[in-house]
Amino acid sequence: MKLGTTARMILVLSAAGFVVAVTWVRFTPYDAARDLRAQAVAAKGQAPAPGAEALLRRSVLAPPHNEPRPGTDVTHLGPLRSIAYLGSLKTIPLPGLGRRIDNFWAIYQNGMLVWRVSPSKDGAPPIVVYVNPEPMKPQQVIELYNIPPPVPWMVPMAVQLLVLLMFALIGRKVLRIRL
Amino acid sequence: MKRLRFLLILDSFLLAALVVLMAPRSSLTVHEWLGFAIIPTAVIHLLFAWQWIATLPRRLLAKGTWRLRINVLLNSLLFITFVVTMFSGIMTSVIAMPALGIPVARDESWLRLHNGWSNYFQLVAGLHLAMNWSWITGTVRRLVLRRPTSAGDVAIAAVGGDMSEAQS
Repeated sequence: MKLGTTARMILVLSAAGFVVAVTWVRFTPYDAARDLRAQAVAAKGQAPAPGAEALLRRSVLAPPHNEPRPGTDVTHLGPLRSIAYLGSLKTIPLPGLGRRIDNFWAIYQNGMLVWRVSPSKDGAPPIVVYVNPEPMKPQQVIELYNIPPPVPWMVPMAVQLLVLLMFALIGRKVLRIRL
Repeated sequence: MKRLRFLLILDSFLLAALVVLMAPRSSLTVHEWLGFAIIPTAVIHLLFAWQWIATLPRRLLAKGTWRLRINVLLNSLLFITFVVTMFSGIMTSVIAMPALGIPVARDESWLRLHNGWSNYFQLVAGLHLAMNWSWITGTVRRLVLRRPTSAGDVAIAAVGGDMSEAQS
């Protein structure tokens, strides 16, 4: 099949256009409340860790100093209306490692927050974090990225390179894929 | 030889860009503009592989070509994950697209799609590296270390760089 460069490029771009069209058709706009409702339904029948809800209620009354995320302002939320349990996750998703974090959806008079709490255990301090589930505005995203990362910029890149090479190694050694 | 050298430079840029893009917290500005820059580079990468693509239909029908079939599947997945990641990235742009005067209706779902699919892309890109490892080592040995091996030259020829060109 002999094709000129222009025809080849048109073919490549058409294939990309097809993928974009499928992505566009399948796209569902974000709705924080709908997303959280689905999480709450999925978590039905599950229970938070002992002491997690009590820690949450104490924290709601006196919100802790939080990670600086632009757009998360707890001063104008008004009184708490309801709490829904969203299930739990582990900080390290491996057996015997990490801590269990319970997620709650707190609805206030003027907004909502997602709280992630973990009561103190075996001498470890409690974890209490809240985030605003509503999407950030463009300026808030820029402000968030302007916060200096906790590690030098080379570290995450080195980690990403290692992850990429790890996948390559798995491909070569385990899956035995090579030319 | 020129073609092979150009391919090595192009692919080295793609690898370096991929590593930088996977660590967006370093700089959002770099992340967005580099994301734009990688699109034409990837198209050129594909165009340079056209010889391999164009002869696929004939070769895929042959018996015992399971390695080739896996490679085709991986490359197709790589293309799809790349396009979805790039497109969703464009849809979440807060610096590059506004700077180009193109307003983007930013939606959190695009960001989630972007974050999720970039992980798939990284996984498939790693497997793509594995699949072409012999070409990479063969090309580096021939052009950088100047110690070519016959196995490396076979891999170079298999991907579409003909050896008369590589040996010139």
